Amino acid sequence: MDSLDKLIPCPICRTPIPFNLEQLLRGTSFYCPQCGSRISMPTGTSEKVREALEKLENLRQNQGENKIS
Amino acid sequence: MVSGQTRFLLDYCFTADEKGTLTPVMVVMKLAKSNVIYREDGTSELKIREMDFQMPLLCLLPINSLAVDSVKIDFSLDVTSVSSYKANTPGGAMRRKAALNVRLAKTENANLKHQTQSESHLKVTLTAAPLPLPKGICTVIDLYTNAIQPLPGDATNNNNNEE
Repeated sequence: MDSLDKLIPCPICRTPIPFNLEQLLRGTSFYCPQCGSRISMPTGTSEKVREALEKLENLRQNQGENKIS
Repeated sequence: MVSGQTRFLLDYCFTADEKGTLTPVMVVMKLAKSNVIYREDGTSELKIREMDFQMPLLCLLPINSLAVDSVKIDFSLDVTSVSSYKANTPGGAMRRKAALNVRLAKTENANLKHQTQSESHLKVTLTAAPLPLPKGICTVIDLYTNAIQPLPGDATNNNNNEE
């Protein structure tokens, strides 16, 4: 299971909401432990974030290859 | 921070206008809150209020994973000789220092392994964790993260919306 490794402050009560980006991209909602608000990512947004995430991953792999060579 | 990371942040997490002013790329997120409305006649109704809010893409991406993910290096050393020499430390807390002469061990194979009295084995494990982000980037991320505010959504988009 993916760990909830990032935090986003609840827009209503400012309590940090733990979330996992991969799960958020897959459509999972995350709840504020204080006020019960639910945050989720619309489909249009997740495509944009996934694209940026892929570019980040490519960059990471390229850097790894450069370090090895 | 390596130039590749900086270039990524500038290219994908910010947009620049003609004057070169950088504006963070924002992504739209959904916020929903359930409210129970109690009426005077004793009935109650569950209403879900939905709002959109924007947050910078920078705050969502795992930027620190760019540095080092996780590196584990295992190797064994054969100690070939041990000696000591006089330490020149002030105060004399440590009078002598030990010196180990080692060589990289051959591939560990239980069938072939043999140790003499003059050889002993050292197992060395190095682990590198992800590097922390530079303070400036952390400050920018904190600034944007703390500025996240809900915006009223479009009521016509969803029947459940209540402004």
